Amino acid sequence: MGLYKIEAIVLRRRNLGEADRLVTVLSRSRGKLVLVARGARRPRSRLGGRLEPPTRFRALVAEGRTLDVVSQVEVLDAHAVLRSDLERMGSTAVVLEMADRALADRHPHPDVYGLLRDALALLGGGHECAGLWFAARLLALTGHRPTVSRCPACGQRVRGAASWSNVLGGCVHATCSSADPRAVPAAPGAMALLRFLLDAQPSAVRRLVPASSVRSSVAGLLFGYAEACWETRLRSPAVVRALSVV
Amino acid sequence: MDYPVPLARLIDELSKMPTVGPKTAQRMAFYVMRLTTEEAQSLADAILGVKAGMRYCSVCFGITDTDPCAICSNPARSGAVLCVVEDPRDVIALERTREFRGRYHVLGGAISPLDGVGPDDLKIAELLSRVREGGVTEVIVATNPRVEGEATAFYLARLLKPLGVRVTRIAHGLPVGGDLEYADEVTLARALEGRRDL
Ligand SMILES: [Zn+2]
Ligand SMILES: [Zn+2]
Repeated sequence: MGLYKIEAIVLRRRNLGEADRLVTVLSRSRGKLVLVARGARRPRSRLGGRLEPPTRFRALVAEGRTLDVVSQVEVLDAHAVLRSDLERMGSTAVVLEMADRALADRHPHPDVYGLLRDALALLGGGHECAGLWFAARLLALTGHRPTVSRCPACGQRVRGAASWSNVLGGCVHATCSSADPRAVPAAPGAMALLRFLLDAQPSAVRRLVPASSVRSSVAGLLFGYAEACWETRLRSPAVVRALSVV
Repeated sequence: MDYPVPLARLIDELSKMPTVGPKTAQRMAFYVMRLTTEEAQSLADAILGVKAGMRYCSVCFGITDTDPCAICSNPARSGAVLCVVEDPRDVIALERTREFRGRYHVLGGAISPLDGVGPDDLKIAELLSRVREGGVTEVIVATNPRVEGEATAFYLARLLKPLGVRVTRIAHGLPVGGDLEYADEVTLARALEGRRDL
């Protein structure tokens, strides 16, 4: 049983036994890992504070019989600003949950790691589209890129008002959407933003200021599409919505 | 070889308990088997007694054997200061300090988007109606110093401040009796942030 070093970002953690924690992280070179942080819940532990989501850290990991054990955690970025208000905490939670749901354990995804790093930096800067950009790019990088310009049903270009179908793979002509009774209307503004997000560089996301109605319709489409692709239900978007109603 | 049915049943029940694995459950079951009838009866009575006698206080949602609980019904405790905690065990921990003379409100958890726990899953509406009833001047938010506890604190502050009460957060910092050099950088940063004039 060996030792290995990782650079990683904490996605989530849950309690294990009396004082330990199971920490799910996305590492740069080994993909998503579930690690044991021994004693992390004890008040005097130096691990607990260092392994809060979404901390980026370096550490030494010891291979165990069932679970690997993390130690010597060195914080690279505690992302304190992402924990400084409710809105940023909410957007961060959605991003972390998507990263967790999209990836299988121990499949290296250095590009997704880089994407998450960039998305957290954008969220820290208060850029409103950071979460949506992350969702769109994550789907693209993990082989679930939705169609946004050519209708998957007939192969022709889609212009103007269209429909969105999770089963057909994205944006379709309203007239071609009859195959999916659950297809929903997709506004041209939402399609334009989504088309842009799928290939945008982080520097371009920084300059985006779309109307909040456009943002929320793209969020609805992307989260629904992600849930269909990953065959799961995202929990955080509903909680974040509930928190914003004050 | 399988265990005889009565023993297997006990092992099965014990291993449902938190932090009890199959090995520990077996050891506990053998311990129970060696008890006298009176001792076994006393253990069984204690388990049933908890079920029959313990409940949640209808005012603060702490655990109690009377309703309202001893703290809520104690006239010597100030109803002007409410201390909000996540778990009934936090009330017991805070009571051990013998420092706090106000009353409590137990939320039953903390907001956790990743676990799908939102405001409606916690006793937040009940907290608001306690404050709206009047007489409360300060709410101390003593949720855990981790992401979920912080999110809950921000959310409560947003709801409570418009009601005209003072909302405070317990301090975070270094463990008493500890050494600076052994503290993690996140805790140290928070301790610096929460510094006070001397
Ligand atoms: Zn078509
Ligand atoms: Zn009570």
